[in-house]
Amino acid sequence: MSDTHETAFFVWNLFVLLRRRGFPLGMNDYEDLRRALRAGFGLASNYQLRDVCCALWAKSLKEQETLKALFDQTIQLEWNLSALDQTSQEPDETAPFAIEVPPQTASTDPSAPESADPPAKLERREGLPNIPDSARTYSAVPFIFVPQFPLTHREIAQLWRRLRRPFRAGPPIELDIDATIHSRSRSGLLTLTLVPRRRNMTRLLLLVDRRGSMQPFHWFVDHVCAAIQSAIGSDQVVILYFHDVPAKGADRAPLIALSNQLSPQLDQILPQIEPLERGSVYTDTQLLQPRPIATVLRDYAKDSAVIIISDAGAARGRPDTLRLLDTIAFLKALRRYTSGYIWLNPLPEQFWSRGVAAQLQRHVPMFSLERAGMERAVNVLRGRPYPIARQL
Amino acid sequence: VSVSPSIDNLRLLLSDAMPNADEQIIEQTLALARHAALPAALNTALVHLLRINFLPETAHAAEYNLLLSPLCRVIGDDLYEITPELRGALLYDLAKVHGPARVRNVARLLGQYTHRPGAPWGEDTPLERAQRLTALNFIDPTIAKEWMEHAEQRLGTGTSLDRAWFVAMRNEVTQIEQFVTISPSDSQPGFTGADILLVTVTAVEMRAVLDVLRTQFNRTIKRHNVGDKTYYDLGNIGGAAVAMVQSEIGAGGPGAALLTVQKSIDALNPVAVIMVGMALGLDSRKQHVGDVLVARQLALYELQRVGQSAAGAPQLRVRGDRPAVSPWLLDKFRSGVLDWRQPGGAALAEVHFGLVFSGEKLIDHQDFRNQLRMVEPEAIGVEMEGAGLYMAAIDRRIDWILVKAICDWGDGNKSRNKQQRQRLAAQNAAEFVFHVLKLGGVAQLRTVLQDIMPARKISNAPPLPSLMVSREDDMRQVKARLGVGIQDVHTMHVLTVIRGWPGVGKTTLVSALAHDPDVAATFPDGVLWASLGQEPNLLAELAAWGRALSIPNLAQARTTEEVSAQLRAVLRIKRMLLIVDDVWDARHTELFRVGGPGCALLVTTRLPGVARTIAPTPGDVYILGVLSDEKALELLQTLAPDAVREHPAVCQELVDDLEGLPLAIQVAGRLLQTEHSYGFSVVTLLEDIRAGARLIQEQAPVDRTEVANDTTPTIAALLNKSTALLDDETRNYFAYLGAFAPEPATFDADAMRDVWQVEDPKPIIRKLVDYGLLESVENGRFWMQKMLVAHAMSFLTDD
Repeated sequence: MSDTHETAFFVWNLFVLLRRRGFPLGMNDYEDLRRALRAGFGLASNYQLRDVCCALWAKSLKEQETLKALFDQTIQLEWNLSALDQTSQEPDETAPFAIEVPPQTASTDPSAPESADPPAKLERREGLPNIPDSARTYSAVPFIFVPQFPLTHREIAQLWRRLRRPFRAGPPIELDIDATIHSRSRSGLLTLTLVPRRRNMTRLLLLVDRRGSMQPFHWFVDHVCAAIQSAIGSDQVVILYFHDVPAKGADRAPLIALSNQLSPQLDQILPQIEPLERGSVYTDTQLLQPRPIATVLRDYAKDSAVIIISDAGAARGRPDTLRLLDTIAFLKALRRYTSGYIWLNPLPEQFWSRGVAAQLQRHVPMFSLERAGMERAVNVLRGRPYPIARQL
Repeated sequence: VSVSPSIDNLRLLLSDAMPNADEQIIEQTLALARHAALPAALNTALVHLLRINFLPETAHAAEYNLLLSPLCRVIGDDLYEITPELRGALLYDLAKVHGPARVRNVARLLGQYTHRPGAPWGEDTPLERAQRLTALNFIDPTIAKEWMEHAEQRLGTGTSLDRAWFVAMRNEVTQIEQFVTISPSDSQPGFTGADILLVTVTAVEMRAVLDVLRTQFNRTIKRHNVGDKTYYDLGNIGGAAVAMVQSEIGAGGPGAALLTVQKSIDALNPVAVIMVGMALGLDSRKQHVGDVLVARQLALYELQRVGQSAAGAPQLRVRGDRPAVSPWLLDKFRSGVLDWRQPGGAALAEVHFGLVFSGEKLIDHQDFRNQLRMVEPEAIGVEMEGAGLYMAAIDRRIDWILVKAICDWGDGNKSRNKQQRQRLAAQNAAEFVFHVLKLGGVAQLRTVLQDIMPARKISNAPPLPSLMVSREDDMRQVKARLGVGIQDVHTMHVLTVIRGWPGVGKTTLVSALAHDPDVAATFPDGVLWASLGQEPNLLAELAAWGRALSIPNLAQARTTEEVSAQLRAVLRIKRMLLIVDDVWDARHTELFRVGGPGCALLVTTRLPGVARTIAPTPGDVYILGVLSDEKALELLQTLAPDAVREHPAVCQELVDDLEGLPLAIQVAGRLLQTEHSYGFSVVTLLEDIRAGARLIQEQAPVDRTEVANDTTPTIAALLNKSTALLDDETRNYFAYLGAFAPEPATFDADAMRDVWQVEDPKPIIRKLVDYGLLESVENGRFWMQKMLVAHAMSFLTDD
């Protein structure tokens, strides 16, 4: 009896933990679990209870993994000390008693026979010998190893799904029921009216800044890109990578006019800057397989939505006139192919006052890589007007 | 040693680097930095995992803010390190803010991450080794150190790269060691004694206990200083709170086992004391180094008769006690042997039960050892502190047992392999003890013992007032709040505040509660009472509780906080009702909040502000109202039946005027009854009171007596009236009582005779009682209500 009481209490802890981690759970979900327990589910063992929790509260594999880790953590803290389940100890629990066993034997090769002289085992490799630890050494507390980004895959995908432009194109193969009925009732003859299938006509070019100050954002940016890709359709999305600027080597001649100006603004010389299509972007994240930016623009940018993901120097915060010049020159080139382009900055807006970002946001619609930012970005790509301080 | 920057400097560093960031994100970044300081190097993923596992409420921004901040520097492709100069400071702060357990958990996360498939640090790279060694160093520093020594030896003339690696790692291993074992000494709060006290002697023994605790339970060990001893709070094991103390070698010396155990029992109030450590084996053929000896019985060999054998050689005859250890403890250890096994099934070490010699000699001589064996061939070992343990435990009536493992044979070869053997022995003994503790059943025993031997009932509550009026309703409600009659302890209100006017009967009500049989059933250990007033002597009141609970060493405590802590330790396991009467300052109550889960605290105050401050919620304040008209009249009728019978209407008026205040009605009633014979009637009394009240109201506030300040003019007039009717002599006697009566003053006739310096105090007493100025309680004692004391004092100041 006290058993179930404690279970309820401990599951409540888990419930609170999950809610703190943003699981969409309400009181009904908690009540569901209680009902399940009352009905006799999940009472046989901790594992069963965990499975029941997973079944009721976790909506995806990742959520399941998170829930399991949290469940195991809570058990460690609340449940095991009560000495309730002396009998149902899992094998790991007896591990503490293996302390006399030299940990060397528990090293990477458990099938090897125990050697009487442990140091002999250490002689296996050149250089630094193996360290006598194993994953089990640290297994006392289960941790979560599933990344938890501020926005889930699903949330990002939902945001970007609005960018899909379904369009009927190609051979007419789909039955148009309305039109068929209409023609039948009008002419009395059954003539099937066929229409082309709906297709998503949105084409998306993602240009992603890598390396340097973007390094801390790689994981999250990759996560966002993958979500966008799955929202739009992988056929329609091309992701290419660059470092700092997609195109380099703009003509510096116009800068001379600015030589005695302290402000990093290029407004004065904006008309003199020539569109720039020199330089390469890369098809891989290691930046090893270059493609000329000119061909990329020609192949993918025409009438596409183009998204540039970069901190524009805001992370390190150094103003860099040449980088600004190159970027503006590249954007000018981009404008020749499409008008639908935006900039996503992984840093929040409050940090854009530094680096190239400060100037760039006056020339290009720049949004932060957050929910609100991406929502506005999608709106702009869908055609909503966006006030630009200084058009290129 | 480089100057390590303070955390404030780091905060400054961060806010400089992020000029637009708000304070919150800087704090969050710093919090993440504390965690990130442990690994030798960082990547984005690890920083992310640190955040979601340890700081789930922290913003995602903290991750890149940290990696882009000057706290981190880039050392490779998605590879960062916290600047080495800052790591120590951050890590120390991590231990300080989150406790050492958090440090170990970060190490665990690092270890688990390092072992994850995908080899985040590459295969067999120096970095991978560095991360693993760092993690291991926090989990098991001995193994980490051994590996270092071995690897360095083997490497000998390795590459310079490896050498540099070793220098760096050695530096790290030694630097970090301090965070791992013990947190900085904490102040008292939170430590409220223990169920089980472990006593160790040597450093090896203590370390073994801490090591086992760390590897098996992953615990934060906290130091606590109680009195002049340091205790290690080992946390809850098998349902029992376990603490450890270290004793000097031997039984009798200063700081040795006898005194240490005695002091520890007083400080922690354990249910059992277990001595754990190393001993000599007596039979190297049947026993092995590392075997565990559990004493069934001790033989104190110091008390000896040195006689002569038939052959003329000196012959020893041991005459000391042979105490047996506590049977229930022995039972726990005997049953613990059954499943003290390796996962494979082999026993971890042999456990022997039997007689153990205890004496003050450090034996390293074969002949002496053999003599002992001849005295008692069945003995299994010899040790030095058991005698002290036994004497202290018997003196304090606490259960005890001795568990020691064999480290040598006392045969003159003590120094051979000493370290290794001692470590093995200490470790085995500690492991076995923890194994038995884990099986539980010790904490439950405390309640079992308490039920078997009903505790001495403690109460320092004042005696029950003789006249208790019509408060059944209030009694019932307050009792319900205290959880009286409710089985489930958790629904009990831990704190109830009773607020009411002066004279309304708060003290009477709570003292009635203190004597109530239902309350006694709910709080079988009794009632503790303290009366504070405006300027209380808190130390004296606390000490009175300590004396009531017979806490020894009370005199050593110098501050109220120390006494509070001692009380807390004792009350932790008691079920008592604590009453703090007449609180004027909410801060005073804090010291009396010493009850454990089975205790309830009842506070009375006349000040609404104090009641509000003390009570956690407004619902915890019980407002004790004045008597209803009927009840007030009923009370008056009990006291002055003739008056009420003759003038019911005027009596009703009188009761109305007195606002249903029990004290006033009582004084008035007695007055009426006493003066009745002299033709004094209700009508005149009412008139007199009204006139007096007017007079008091007209007086300037400065001239008001204390009584008038405390209450309404009507009541003051009544009190004036009652004393005015006394003759001068009696009034003086009454005034003297005000001088010496603390509240709730009870005193007997002898005390009054001394104060008044009269032959026979009885006539005066009788008169005062008749006029309602003194109240008789049980056992020939008397007490005075607070307001009357104040009234009496007003005469003194007049003189």
